[in-house]
Amino acid sequence: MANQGPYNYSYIFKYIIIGDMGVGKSCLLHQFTEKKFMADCPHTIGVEFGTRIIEVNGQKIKLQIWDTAGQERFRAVTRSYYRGAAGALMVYDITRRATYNHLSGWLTDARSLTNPNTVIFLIGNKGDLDGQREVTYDEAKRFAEENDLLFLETSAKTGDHVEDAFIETARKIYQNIQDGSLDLNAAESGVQPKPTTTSRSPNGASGTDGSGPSGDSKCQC
Amino acid sequence: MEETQLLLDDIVLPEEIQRYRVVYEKAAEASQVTDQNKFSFAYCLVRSKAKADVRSGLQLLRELYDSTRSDDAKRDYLYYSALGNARLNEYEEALKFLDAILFIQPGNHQAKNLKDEVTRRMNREGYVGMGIAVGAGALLLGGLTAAAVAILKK
Repeated sequence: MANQGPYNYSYIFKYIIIGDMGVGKSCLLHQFTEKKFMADCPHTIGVEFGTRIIEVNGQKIKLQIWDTAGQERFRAVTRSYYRGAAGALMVYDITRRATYNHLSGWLTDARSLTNPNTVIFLIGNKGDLDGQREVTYDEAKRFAEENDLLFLETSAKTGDHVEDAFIETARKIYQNIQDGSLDLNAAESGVQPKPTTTSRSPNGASGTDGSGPSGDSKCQC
Repeated sequence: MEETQLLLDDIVLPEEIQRYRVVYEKAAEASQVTDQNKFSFAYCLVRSKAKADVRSGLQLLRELYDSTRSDDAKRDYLYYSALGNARLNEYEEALKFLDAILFIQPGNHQAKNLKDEVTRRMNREGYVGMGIAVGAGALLLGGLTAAAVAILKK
């Protein structure tokens, strides 16, 4: 998955990944950006980022994914990253009931701190550990439907459905742009058209100064 | 690379800092400062555009570091101390903290990435070292650096 140059895409979508500690948020991100499973991943410090360019309906879209720490200590810290997210991946662990029970708290945060059009995708991770399951698919599916969330069970370990979750979210966001329900001019839509010279911070320009590898060496665990 | 740049250049708006400042000062008045609210405020401060804020944030992180026994918490405080120092262009300080983390967790990619970025900036800016960059903040941080070095020796 070689990158095709930094500006070869039509939009940037900002995502956040939230959920309890140890449900596999960083591993999902790593699996998505690197197509590898990272065992023994240290707890995330605060937030980290990952990016990948995907294609939806023939449009190249750059996903800028903010992976948040699940530890309570960081709750206030990570809340400041919800703003301006076009997509929120809310993750629980199918083998730990408590992580599922906490979803309503995460959902409240996600709803109150993002904009009304933010696409929220519920992910039941560790699908490979079916034998230790504590939350049934049907129950979570019902919860998702009641709360108007997209839903999939994934395995960051085997990669099952990981792509689908990230890409379905983008598809839904793209659809919201197409049908006009997502206003791109709104300050915090979480979607930026292809970057021009006026960006909020000078990051865009510094990415092309030639001093670093332009490849895939992303930072996720 | 790009991600770490984002992280380093990420700015907290003055209004938000003010909000956390009020919360923190109220807590301080009521003697209800916890590691949690102190850390939230410190984390805000080290990402401020104002250098004085960053320095206050570093001071709070140092206090947090000194008062906790949790290795996990220490790691987090070291990381944000590195971030704050990097934002003040005090790269050598930043590297000390990052090396302390990497000594304990050699596989910590967040620390590694920040270290790469700090090193890149040092090279880009032709960094000349503490000899010139010494300021009040650098002196203030001597203790924390010593603590980090103590960990390295452990």
